[in-house]
Amino acid sequence: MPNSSLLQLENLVVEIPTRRGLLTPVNGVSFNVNQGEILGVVGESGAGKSITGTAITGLLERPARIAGGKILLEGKDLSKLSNDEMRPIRGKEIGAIFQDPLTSLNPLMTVGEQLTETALVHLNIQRREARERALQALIDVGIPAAENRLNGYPHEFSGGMRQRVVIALALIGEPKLIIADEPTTALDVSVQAQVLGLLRQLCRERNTGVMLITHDMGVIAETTDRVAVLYAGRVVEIGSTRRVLTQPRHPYTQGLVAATPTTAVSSGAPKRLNQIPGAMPGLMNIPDGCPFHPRCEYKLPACVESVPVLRTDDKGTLACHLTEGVNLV
Amino acid sequence: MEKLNKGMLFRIWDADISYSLRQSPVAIVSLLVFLLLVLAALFAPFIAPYTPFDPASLVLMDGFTPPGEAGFGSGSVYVLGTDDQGRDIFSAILYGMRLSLFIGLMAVLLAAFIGISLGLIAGYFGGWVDAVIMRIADVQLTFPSILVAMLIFGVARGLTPPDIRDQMAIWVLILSIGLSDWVQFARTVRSSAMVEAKKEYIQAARMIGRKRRVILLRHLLPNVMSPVLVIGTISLALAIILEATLSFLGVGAPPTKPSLGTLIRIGQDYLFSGEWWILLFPSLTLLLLALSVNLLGDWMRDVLNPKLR
Amino acid sequence: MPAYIIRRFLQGAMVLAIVGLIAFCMFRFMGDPFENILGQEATVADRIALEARLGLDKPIYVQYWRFIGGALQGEFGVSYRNGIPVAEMIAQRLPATLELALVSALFALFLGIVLGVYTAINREGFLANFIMTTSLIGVSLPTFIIGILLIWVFAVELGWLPSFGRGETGILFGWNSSLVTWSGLKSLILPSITLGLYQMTLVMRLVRSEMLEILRADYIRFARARGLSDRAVNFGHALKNTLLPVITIIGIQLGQIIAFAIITETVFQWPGVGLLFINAVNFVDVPIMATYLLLVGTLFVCINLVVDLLYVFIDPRLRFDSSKSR
Repeated sequence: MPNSSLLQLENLVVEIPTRRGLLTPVNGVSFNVNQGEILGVVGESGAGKSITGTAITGLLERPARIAGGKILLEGKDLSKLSNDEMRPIRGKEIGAIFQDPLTSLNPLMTVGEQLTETALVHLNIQRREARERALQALIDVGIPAAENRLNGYPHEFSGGMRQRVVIALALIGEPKLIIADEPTTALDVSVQAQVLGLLRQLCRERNTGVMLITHDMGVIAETTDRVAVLYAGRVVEIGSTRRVLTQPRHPYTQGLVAATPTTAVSSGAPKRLNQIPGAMPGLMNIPDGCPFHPRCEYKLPACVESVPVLRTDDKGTLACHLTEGVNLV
Repeated sequence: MEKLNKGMLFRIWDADISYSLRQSPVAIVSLLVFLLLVLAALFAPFIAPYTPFDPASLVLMDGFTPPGEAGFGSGSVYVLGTDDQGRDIFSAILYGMRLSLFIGLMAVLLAAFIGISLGLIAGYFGGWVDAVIMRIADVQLTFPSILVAMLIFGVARGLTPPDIRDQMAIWVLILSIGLSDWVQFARTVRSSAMVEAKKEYIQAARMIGRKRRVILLRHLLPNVMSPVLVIGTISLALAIILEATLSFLGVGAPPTKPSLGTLIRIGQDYLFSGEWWILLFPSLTLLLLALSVNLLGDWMRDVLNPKLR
Repeated sequence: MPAYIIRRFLQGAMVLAIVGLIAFCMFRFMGDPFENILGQEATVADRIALEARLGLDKPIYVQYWRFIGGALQGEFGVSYRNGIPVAEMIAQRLPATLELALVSALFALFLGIVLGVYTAINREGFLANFIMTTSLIGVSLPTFIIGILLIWVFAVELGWLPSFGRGETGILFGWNSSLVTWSGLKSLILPSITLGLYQMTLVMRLVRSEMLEILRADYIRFARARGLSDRAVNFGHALKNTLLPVITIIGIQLGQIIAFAIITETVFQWPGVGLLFINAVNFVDVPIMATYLLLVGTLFVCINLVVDLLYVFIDPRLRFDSSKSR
């Protein structure tokens, strides 16, 4: 299948004016999501991953606003659209999955009603057919005895089942792109793998692109095709998952990989988990130049002065003054 | 000494509450109006030109004098006019407010006393003591406080001999309003007490062998007092309005010592016959009092609400 | 769930028992039936006879039992003032109060919900802020002042509406109702606004704050992310969830309305049980006071119970045993 670029972010900037000053949680983020692939967007809490996702769906809440850059969905720039213009796109072309399945579902409506309602909005069908689609959606996500479960309320489902319902809701409009924001963080570890596997399978089947936001490198390793690493509102590295995990080029990525139990163990004898000293700066305290330089062991004078540009070469995409990157020894 | 006072004053000015106060014009105006009314009421004996509570001083022929005119009987001028008994409206308002504030304050103190005591006991001892007190509170809460106050007033009045009923009316009023309001004090203090009772400084005091009464009063009490202030202010507002309502209904301040509510009751009778001043001025005063105290209470609740921080 | 219902029943029964006890004590120990009924020239023999007739010579618990038995049969003694059976007096005036209470409650609920939803959805609008500010005044003013103000404006100055009384009544479903005559309807307007205004502001503020909070919830965000229209989100999802807590206060509301009816009936001389009660308190007419207490207590307990059951019925989360959710 031809891999065409489904979603293209070009230098996206999101600003939040506050009483204490202007915050820029997303400061020039660029990456692509292709049809049929799963792109992981990884970073610590506060790196700007979730806000990027929210900006793409046009659901930023005042006073946050898109201040620059482009969000191209198959060539159409979403950043300029009004709320009324975005609405037909939501659910139909872009679907969203949030972190907590319990609070994502209306506790007073049956699961069937919520599915049917969504189907009616996006597909040009009658109520009867919408209900059948709802049933089919539940079956597709692997809910047993789906017909009985249609009339169930969210609190009657277990956590993993609930997230499956959420996935069903996101997919029922047949969107081309799914933005999944920490979809398994609120679930038990044993259930996480199932849900992620389901997501992968469904998206492969429908050739849907997925932007999977997470802070968990384990999830990245298991589920994604490519990964983009975010730090303090900027992209520091992008590449295929395999390559990034085995040969990370950016010092931050290197630190992340080394600090993850699974990857550290799998590459040989169990080593000491490396911590990256220091902490990611808060939005009010972002340093000049490369935001990572205070914690970077390979710091150059240039790093303090100017922000490294995101450049793509034959090995991948990188934003670092050490243009060749660092190699994991 | 000079330096100390200046420093304290500055600290009060600079404190969070003062800052919020200065930010809100509504709160400032309400506070000023309220203070003005309170001061007027406090200094009533000095400001009021007449003594409306002394039946002997009333000149019946002066009744129904319009504002600013001289009475038929005595020839003296009444700034806001007189009512049917010849009472000067202006003085009656001042003394009436004084009465209302007195009753309100005493009622709140009574409610606080009962509520805090019961709350402390319930929270500290727990068990069946707690259960009994809370059951009583629940039963009382099934009824709106107006009803409870009216009932207590009715019962207390029924138990007093008819000849001293008017005299006792004010104390009966304080009793009924106070008894109708103790529950929220008790509940807040109880939950604070339950939390504090488990803390170590209480255990320590028990270990040393301090008497229970001492523990309750010296150790527990100061630590559960902070929400009491907020509840107290709001209770005062409610008490003032409740007193006005009860007096208006005729089960409050007696006609011989009228409060604002009683005056309004009298005024309503003359609404159609043209003596509008008997109704208007007491109503306006009560309006100002009720509004300012409520707005202040509202603002205070917002400011001291930890959830909004 | 059945356990929950049983518990509420028991609680209600206990409240009723206590209320009954207080009412009985009032009857027994307050006021002087002898003087009122027999007059001042009663002889000792008369007193003894009356005592026997009223059953006052029997032991206390027998009296209490007879009292409860009598109450259950609708026998509440006679008024100390005019000797008419209390049950009859109350029955005569109850429809007036109930009608007033019902109309006020509907006014408060309907307008309160509408305004609450409007000010929540149009948070920033000028009209919304204006409504909120005026509502503050509505909450602060004592009910009787509102009533007098309305009378002044609409009855005295404008002369549009009557200032007291119930107007003419007609028969509706077997009782005297103001709803079927034009003058009756006109008389109903000012009192029901007076009675309902405070409750309306309460409902409005509650609905507004609930809705604002719900509109921030995750499932609303998800609904929007699925492309649902503003109308579907606001009314299909948010409103339904907002109304749930509103139901809980309906019970308290009705209770408060019935209590505050006393004030409104006094201001407007509305011939209901509230006015009856306040006159009874003024004249220490104990049987009426005690019976009113019993009546109102029973009413409150019933209302609270119904609301509790309603809540359980409507919120699916409470309908099921907690052990069932996995």
